[in-house]
Amino acid sequence: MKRKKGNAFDVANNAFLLLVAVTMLYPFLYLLLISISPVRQVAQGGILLWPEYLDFTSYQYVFRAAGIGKAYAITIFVTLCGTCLSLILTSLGAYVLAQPVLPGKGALTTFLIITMVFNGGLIPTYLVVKNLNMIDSVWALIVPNAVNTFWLFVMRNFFRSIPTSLAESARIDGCSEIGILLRIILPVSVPIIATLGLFYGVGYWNQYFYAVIYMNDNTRMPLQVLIRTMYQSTTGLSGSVVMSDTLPPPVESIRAATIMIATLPILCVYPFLQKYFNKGIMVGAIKG
Amino acid sequence: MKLQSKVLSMLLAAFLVLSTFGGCTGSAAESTQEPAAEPGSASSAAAGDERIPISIISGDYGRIVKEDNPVVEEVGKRTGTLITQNVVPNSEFAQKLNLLVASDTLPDIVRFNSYEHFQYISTGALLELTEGLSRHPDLKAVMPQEAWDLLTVNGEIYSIPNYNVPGKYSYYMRQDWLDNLSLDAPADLEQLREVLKAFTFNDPDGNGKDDTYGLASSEALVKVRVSVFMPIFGAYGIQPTSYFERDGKAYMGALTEEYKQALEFCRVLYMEDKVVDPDVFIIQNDQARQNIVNGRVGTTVGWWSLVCELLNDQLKMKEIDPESEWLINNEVKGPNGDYGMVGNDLNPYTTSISASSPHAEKCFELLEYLCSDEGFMLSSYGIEGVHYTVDADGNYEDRTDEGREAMNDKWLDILSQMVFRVHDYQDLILKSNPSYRPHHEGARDAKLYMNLFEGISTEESQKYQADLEKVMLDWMVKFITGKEPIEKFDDYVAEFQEKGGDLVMESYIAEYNTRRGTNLTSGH
Repeated sequence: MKRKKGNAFDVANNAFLLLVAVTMLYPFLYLLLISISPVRQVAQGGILLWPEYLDFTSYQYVFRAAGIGKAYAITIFVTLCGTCLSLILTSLGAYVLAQPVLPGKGALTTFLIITMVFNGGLIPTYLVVKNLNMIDSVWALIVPNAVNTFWLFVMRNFFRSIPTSLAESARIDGCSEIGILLRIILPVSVPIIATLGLFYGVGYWNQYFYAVIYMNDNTRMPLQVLIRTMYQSTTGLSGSVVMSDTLPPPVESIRAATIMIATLPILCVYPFLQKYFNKGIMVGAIKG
Repeated sequence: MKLQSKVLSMLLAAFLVLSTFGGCTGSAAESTQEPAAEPGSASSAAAGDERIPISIISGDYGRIVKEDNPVVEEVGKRTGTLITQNVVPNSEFAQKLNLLVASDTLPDIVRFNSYEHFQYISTGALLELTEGLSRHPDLKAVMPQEAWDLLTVNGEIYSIPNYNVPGKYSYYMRQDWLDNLSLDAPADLEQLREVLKAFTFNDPDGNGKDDTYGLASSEALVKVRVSVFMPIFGAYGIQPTSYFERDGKAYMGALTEEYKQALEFCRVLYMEDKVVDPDVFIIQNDQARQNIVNGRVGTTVGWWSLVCELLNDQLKMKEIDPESEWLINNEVKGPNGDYGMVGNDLNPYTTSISASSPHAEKCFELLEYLCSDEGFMLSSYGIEGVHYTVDADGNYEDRTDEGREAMNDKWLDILSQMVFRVHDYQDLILKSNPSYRPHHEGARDAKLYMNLFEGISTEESQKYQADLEKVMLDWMVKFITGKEPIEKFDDYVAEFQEKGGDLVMESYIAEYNTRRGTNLTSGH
């Protein structure tokens, strides 16, 4: 009897969650369908579940864009390199701040917290970046925002939650501080590293504003800026000053295709990181 | 414990130092790879190359900067320049310009949207052009005097105009529906009302379904300036966002008695006759165009290329509805016989030269070249024989496949819109697309309500414009949907003035009087 009741609940629960999942997935599916449907069907708004036939015109159009290969390369470089650098800097900083004893820790913490509340303003920041000769360099997309203070504290708190006995036992065995960080702390911190790595990664992947501000050379823009230009160039009917006498595919298809192109790669990263999120933090670290 | 904290502080130092150091080494490596990237720096001309680097910055105008663009390369070769272009999304353009001005690294040539360059004159970042223009008469001659006048303040010119046709919008009607219902094209508002009713309720497409509306939009409603009610406002003798002069006084359309009457007429159409698409205030571009293409819309207001380019060529409306025929009717007359559409700015963008540019003279030469016959064809159509063909007389014939593809990819004519002979360009386009001509001319020849204060950009207008737009739009929707009775028109005017409307008006009038030596006062 009891079991049956549980089943009924499970069924209702699963049905409900399935429904939620569908409402989340459908918009994405819809865009995917628009991007691969024939132009005429899109124009008539006749897409619900399946395209009449597959039509990749809009993808061809977007991928023919001048310099999209380079833009992808820059974005991937910035994402990989930036995420690594961010994680290195963040974990170094977090490890230091997580120490129970550190001269001037309070002052340092305050100093860091101030940057969370106030920032230097755009013009001074720009001048700093300029004087570091980073204008038009991909490093301008990485270095000025390499450490997110809030996430630094998130990581510090995580490090604090690791029993000090772990580090102490290593220290007794003669391990150096770097060694403790690399061999003891980081291996048990995979969940937080995966989480922050994802946050940093998505941030770098979506980099747009700083690219527009710090890059003067349009041939070195990351993907998001180029795609926006692509999209904008097809929409500005009444905004465009002069007409052109050649026609791209309709806006809806292009938009759907650009969304796919811009989001799919980073979406593919999620499943690989997910397994770290629900893993127990200290599994197998200390026994007895 | 002491040792431990020493090591810790070393780690800390590593954390702090690495963040700056990483950047320095990285950028050094970068800059050795490509020396030409820094705007305004003349260093790259040194390497045995005679060509002078010219950097150009502009807002987004639908073109993509391509590495090794053969047209840009060709222009560079013929003018002895090495051109680098920075196209910035319009939403970030002002911010970026401020940064470049603040850091004194403004590129040599700046292409401003509408009249925004006026704000930068006081910073000293822009070059006064009068003297340079006198040495480049061809550049001066390519734009009409009217366009120069709008940019001349106290005899000084800081930007080169780019004159365009101000008539861009038309009121479109389904001619085939009129024929089906044996109706004449409406000549005044009462006839228009009957036609809209018939289009909505008398099944004009003969499909037996009640699925049509008399009046619907062709794009999302963003500003009061361009709405589907444009011809009705025109029939009452105003356009809301156009300032105008009457008996030595300046008025704004949106604050007049005429506007009030027009709103009331729109309310009747919307609320009582129910001939307007109810979604007209919230519809998005895609949906609006789908409705039109699928034959659910009888009349609409649109950019001149709406029907010929967007509906027919791009969305294949003729395939869906072979019967569809559009009539341009910009002369629906109001109670006093008025009519007309909104007039666009005569100079949608202008081109300036940086005061700190070491190559100002070269900038003049480049711009003058771009508006020469040769430079115009090269920058708009590409390289002769490669991107377009000419006939036996040497006249432009058509784009080649390569040229068409480059145009589709949005990089071929990226240099064309610096100093642009828009009329020549339009002539050539209309020559190769004869079906566009009536649409172009229909909008061009419409009677227009021009803005009296075009070319004036004041501190107040910058400050309050966004808020005022919102007040106008909110109240327009409220009045037409009957959410607020038209008797509250005075409340609306009061709110408009309170949010800065009168300050903007005063600042416009003051600037206008200074420039023209007139003695205009506010009529409100």
